[in-house]
Amino acid sequence: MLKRIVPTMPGKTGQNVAVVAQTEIDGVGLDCLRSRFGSPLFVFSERTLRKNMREAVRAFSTRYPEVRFAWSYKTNYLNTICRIFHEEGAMAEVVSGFEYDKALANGVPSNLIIFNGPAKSEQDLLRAIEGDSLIHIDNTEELRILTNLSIEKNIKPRVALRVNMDVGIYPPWNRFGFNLESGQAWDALEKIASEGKLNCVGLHCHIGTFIQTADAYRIEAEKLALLAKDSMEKLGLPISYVDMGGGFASKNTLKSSYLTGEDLCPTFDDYAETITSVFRTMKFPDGKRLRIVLETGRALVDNAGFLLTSVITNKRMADGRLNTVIDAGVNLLFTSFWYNHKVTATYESTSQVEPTMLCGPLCMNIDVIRDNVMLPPLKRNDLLLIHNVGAYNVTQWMQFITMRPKVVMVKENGEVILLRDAECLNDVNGVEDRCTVN
Amino acid sequence: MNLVTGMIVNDSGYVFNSMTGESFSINQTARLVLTLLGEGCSKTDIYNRLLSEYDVEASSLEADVDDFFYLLKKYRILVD
Ligand SMILES: Cc1ncc(COP(=O)(O)O)c(C=O)c1O
Repeated sequence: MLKRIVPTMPGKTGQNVAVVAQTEIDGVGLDCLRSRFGSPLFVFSERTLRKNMREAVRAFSTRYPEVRFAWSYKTNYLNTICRIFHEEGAMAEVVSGFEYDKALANGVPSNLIIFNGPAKSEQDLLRAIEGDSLIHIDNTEELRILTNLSIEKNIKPRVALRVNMDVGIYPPWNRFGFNLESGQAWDALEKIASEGKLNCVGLHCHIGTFIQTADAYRIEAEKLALLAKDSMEKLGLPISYVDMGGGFASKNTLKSSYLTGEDLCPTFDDYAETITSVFRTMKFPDGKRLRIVLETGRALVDNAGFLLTSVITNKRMADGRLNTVIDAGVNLLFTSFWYNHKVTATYESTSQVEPTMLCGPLCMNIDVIRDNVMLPPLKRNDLLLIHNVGAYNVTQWMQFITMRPKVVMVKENGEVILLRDAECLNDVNGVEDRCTVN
Repeated sequence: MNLVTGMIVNDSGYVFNSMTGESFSINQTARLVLTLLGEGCSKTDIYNRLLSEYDVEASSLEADVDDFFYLLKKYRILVD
């Protein structure tokens, strides 16, 4: 091995970050997983999923008596994974009719579904009304439709108002719901109160995603709590919960970040202390205590997901850099566009590591999983493990050039089960074949 | 092809190419290869020597040797 020494800024841990190998997930050997299920392969750890959820519940419920999590379906809607979160006590948070159906099929009672999203159809709204779901209103059009449906059906739907606000972070999420500072939110609440057709039981805000400063939630909590208090006192609305949305960071490292996500990520305790302290001190009418709802997504699932991938070949780029091609591309790992995913070897090697560009198998220049990662010498068929891939990948992945691979889960008892089979040509052609007229 | 003149290799695996001013680090195997090149061995000699000395598959060794020689040329450590 010959490595050019280039004078650059060393990373926090120096330049030659030795790669610690990981050979198994919860006691199951990675080689064995590949021989049984093939490569690439998504692997989830049931143990980590449950541990994360229990950790989050503990952090909040030891500080505040009324807390409920709602599993954010879009983050990962593999049914087995959703059901694990429901078993651990989470409601469902969905943003489309399709996700609503998934939640019902996973056994979630319709009155424990939070229906969010900016594009609900009239038909879906009607279902949600009849199912007594919690409908979070995104815009005035939706407010009008809901009011009309409630008159038509003579049902008073349970709703919450989605609010957006300035919490001092960039970029601000102000596209969804009604703006607080400009008075939009208050106008909508007044309208709901004066019309009296909707049962406005909650307020909701999702300040953004991957929020690495717990303090942003303090601002959100203070503003929402005050709005809830005013809505109760001045408008007589029966507010019973405040939904703080999702957004807690996972341990991934953002591309722009100097420090690693593991160093920067606040703990569930940090977030919980910040949020609950606001609700512990705020006094609401009649001594009422508001329930805190959380729609935490990535922080609960990211580190429970791994992508096992095999080396196809090594190439030298014109500038002398090493380019290792693997069998998993950006079509499977959408999040590689904004994270430097941790990648580890699966066998112990010498301390020799080389700066490597890790590329997927797609015939596209953008198919880069890591621009520059220190890896030991690798050869064809060597296995690599990509970490923290549990959030948003198995929902946003694309069938592109290659088909989507299997997803398995290592259960708490060590058994490995298939959660989703690999796509086959029939799955892809089938939707076209359905329209062939012969 | 010859090793560039004015190249310094020390025991801890530090290489300095005084013709280009570039520095490199090498491992044990690379040091052996540079020594053999200095003794006038050809690429084929070196490949055969490594094959007999290390527990390695021929195809994988061939790829590694090719890659190593590519880098030696690229960094002008091996010159015409
Ligand atoms: C309304 C809402 N709730 C919850 C989430 C989950 O967010 P996260 O995965 O950042 O926790 C999202 C994600 O965008 C969202 O839009």
